[in-house]
Amino acid sequence: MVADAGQELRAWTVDGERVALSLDTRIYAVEAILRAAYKFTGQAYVFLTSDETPGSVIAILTAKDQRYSLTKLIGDFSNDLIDQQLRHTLQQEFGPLQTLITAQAFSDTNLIDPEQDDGDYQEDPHGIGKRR
Amino acid sequence: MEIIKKILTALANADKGAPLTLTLSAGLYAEHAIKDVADNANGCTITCRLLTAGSVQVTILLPPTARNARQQIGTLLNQFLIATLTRRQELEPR
Repeated sequence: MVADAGQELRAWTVDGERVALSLDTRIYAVEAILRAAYKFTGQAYVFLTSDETPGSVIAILTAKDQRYSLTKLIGDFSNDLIDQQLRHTLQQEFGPLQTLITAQAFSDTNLIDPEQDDGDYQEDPHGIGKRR
Repeated sequence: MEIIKKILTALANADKGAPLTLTLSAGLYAEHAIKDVADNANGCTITCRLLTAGSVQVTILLPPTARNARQQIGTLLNQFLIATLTRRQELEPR
């Protein structure tokens, strides 16, 4: 068993056929790990499992094409993890806003300011026509 | 790291035709998705056992005539993952 120990990335292999990566869930959300793993099913066989130590997930990757080196497999998967984690962070940050914009686009009424549609321009509820 | 060694060894043995027993953790794999894949696994036998906390222990047994066990096992493992994510997407509110 070979261990490539780094601060964030740790990988093991027994037979050189497949590699196990230990992923810290404080860095990568489970959602991001699942999405990266799903995306990788085209080029590798992926198995995920929980580690004995809480807060980490183990990803076991086997390249479909045996000419695909394990080092490249680890590198590509790690890069994809970062990509998926960033998407996950952005989704958390801007997801509600995205939902609101989409809902507004398909809505007949004004969801952000419902009174705006009911208002009469002669009554001018927002005082748009007033001199400042 | 004992668990990693155990899984890597089990997968290496499965490549040579040995039955493979793995635990699909709750929170990573959906129970219904595992059942769907197990029910539709043509040619091989998959037995599932529900463990505590919702994890499922699966045992995959390929027929003795099976060719390329590495590919067949790998495809099944991918299917568990794909079915889980597909199922989650179906259930997600839109």
